[in-house]
Amino acid sequence: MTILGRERWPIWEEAYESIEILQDIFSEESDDRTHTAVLKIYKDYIDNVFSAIDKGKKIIYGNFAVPGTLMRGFDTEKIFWYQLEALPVIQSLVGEPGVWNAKLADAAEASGIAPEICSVDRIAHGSYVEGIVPMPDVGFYLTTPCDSQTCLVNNMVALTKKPTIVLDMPYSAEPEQIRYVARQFREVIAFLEDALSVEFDFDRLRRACEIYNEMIEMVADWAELRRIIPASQPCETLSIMAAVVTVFSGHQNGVDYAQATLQEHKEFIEKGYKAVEGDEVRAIWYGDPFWSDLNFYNWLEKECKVTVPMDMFGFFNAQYLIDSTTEEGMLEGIAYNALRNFPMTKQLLGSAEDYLSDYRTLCKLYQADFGIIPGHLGCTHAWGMSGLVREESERLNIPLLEFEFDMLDPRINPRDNVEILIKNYVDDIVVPLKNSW
Amino acid sequence: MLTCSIVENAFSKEPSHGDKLKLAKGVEIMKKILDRIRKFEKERFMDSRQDVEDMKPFLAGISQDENSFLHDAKSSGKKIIGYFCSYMPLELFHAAGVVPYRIRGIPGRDIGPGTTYLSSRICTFCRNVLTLAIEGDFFFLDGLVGCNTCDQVRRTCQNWIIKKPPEFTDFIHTPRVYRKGNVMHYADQILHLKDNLEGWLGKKIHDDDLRDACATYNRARNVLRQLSDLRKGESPSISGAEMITLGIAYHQMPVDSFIAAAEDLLEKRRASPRSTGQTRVILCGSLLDEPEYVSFIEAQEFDVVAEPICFGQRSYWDDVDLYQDPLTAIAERSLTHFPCARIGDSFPARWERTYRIYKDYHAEGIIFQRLKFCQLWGVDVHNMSPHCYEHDIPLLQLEREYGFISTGQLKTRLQAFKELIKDRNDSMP
Repeated sequence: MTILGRERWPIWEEAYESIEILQDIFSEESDDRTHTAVLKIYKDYIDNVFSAIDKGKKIIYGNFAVPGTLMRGFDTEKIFWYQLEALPVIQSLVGEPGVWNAKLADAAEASGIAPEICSVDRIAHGSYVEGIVPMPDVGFYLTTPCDSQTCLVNNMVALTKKPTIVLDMPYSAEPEQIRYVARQFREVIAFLEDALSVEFDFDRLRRACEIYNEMIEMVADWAELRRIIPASQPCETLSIMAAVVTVFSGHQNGVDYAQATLQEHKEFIEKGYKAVEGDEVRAIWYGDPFWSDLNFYNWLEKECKVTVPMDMFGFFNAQYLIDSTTEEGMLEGIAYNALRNFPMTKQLLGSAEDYLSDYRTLCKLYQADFGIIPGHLGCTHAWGMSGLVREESERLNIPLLEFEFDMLDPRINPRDNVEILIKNYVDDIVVPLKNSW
Repeated sequence: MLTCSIVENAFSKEPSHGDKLKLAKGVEIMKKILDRIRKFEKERFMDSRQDVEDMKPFLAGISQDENSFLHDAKSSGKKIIGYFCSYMPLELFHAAGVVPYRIRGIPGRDIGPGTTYLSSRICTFCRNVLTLAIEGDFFFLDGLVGCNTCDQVRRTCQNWIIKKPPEFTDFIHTPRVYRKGNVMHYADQILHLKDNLEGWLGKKIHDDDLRDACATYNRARNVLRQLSDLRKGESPSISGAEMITLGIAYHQMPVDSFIAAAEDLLEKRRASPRSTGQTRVILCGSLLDEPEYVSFIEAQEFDVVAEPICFGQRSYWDDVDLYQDPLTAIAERSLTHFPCARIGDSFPARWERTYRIYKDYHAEGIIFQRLKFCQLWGVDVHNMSPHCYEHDIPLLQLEREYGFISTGQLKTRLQAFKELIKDRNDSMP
């Protein structure tokens, strides 16, 4: 297997091969726009990684919260922004997480990383230690969304010994904090211009902001459609949306995916498709997606009659469109979105009330029959809300299921175990309660 | 049997009044046993030095249940504010006329309620503290100021404020990066806190009050540095366990009382150098506020000659610049002091200072300890290891839970580490 005509690191080649196989499968199903679109953009992304290496572009390391839209202000012919979590996520979605993720997480632990660190960050670290990712010229990181990410940043600063800039992301998103982040964006621009001898162009940024707005409006329309009962589009789509929006914000691929997903959803509604045969049970998935095995969501719908109309990662809001008329408007708009319209950061970085109010909103908007807190092991700021969210759920009179798992490492709590937990909970608690209403 | 019958009853019906009384009595007995263990641990590490008298004010200052300093402060009408982190502006609290009290748990206490709210995936320090908060042990606090120290402490504060809010609560954002712009932002945050404190207390906090407070805290930090420096020579006249006790007392006593007692101690200890000939180590890593733990290490024939942790040198190594605008100077000192792992790109600076301390204090090894589930300190050993290897520094990593219990396993590991250092020293030309 080659990528762009050359042999590459096996993990990338395997993922690439999987994408090509899946593309063959899904190309025969004409109405499956979502899979077709996501596979295309993953393939493009891998092509871009190796094209950047082949062309000798300057590589910027970043963590996943770095706003893609901001990075589009640089000339992408000269630089490539590599998200450290890209490989673990792509690998999980199309590869064999039980093999590669496990191996890379173990490599990180063997090098001295504590096992309590989020697996996303351990796997990203393991990828660097194993030398299977492009090497950076500079680093640009944010201190969000969690402590594990700060650990990864500290590691990368120590390991790469490359010029680095780290942005401080505040706890709340008051106007003062937005301006604070926007000012730091200016520092980043100056730093990268200087370190890489490239120019930042605000006209390019303007175009990226317009693309971002276009994407986020479509995502919001799609989120609105997901409120309709019965659910028509499979919930697997939900878990992919976050991965796409975070990597491709401000990029045409993001718009293409959002458009395909929205279009597919509209068509499914028109055709009267139902995600679940018979009466559906609606759950709010309030935490990290089941990325180590997306087929899990299909099981959920088929065997359990449970549909997930919305989750924490897919809940984007169109009220935070970026004002692209001025430089400050753009920077502050990107800052606002980074703080309040970004998976995890929005719910987990700030106050307890932010977390609880989103849970309330999702349960009400999407008419949840029950809530699921998938307790990703390394997600301490979500674990720290365990008791309060249970109390909130009681107030809402919505049963809540909480369990431990790992979103990327299937060894922690295998899918079979999770399935039994959910099936029993739905059969014994949720359905009887729902029938009694 | 007592517990079993209560549990059975709990499943079958509401516990009876008698059961509740039995349970309360059981808890009381447990408390007494724990108090006895704690007292024994304190006496043991102090007795070994025959310095109980010198340390009495500080032991009183860190006592969770007999803190006469806090009692006196309350009696004189002063308010007490709890806080968590070495990045907090203590000088502002002092200038406002309130006593800052750094939150500690009670090691060994049952942490059920804290675990209920925070889950078992959060560190035992946070669970311990939240338990105490929920059960009313922090009744003496008039206020609580939280900050985003780490995700776990942030959530602990938020749970506390929701479940059992004291009279005054505030939460400030403490930057996790150091650049000029971050300092100005933090100064603004402190200014907001100052405004809120003024509103609560009904009085203005003037710049002169702030300058005086900065000078006072600089003086406290200076005496701590001098006490710590007593360990630089061959004959350390103060132990690591005592220095940790002082570090805690600095955070929990009214600072003026602390300075008076610490200066007195410095005078006495200067006059009484002693030689132990034990293996010299420095103690790094996450939060550690249990002198018993350090005492146990020293009981294995180590001298802990420095402890760059947040109750140790990280707190008192740097001063506030008295010639700047006070709020900016406090913010600057907070963000530039010996960095915690919570700072985003801090490892190079942390290692540079740690290594300097290692050399200055003539240490022979580094013990790195970390609370289980503490993520921020979960990667520092990975980053330290190559440096230790390069400089031929023996490194021991210990994981622990809050609430020290001396164990054979820990003893064995410490003794093995001592052997390793001895072999290394013997093989050196």
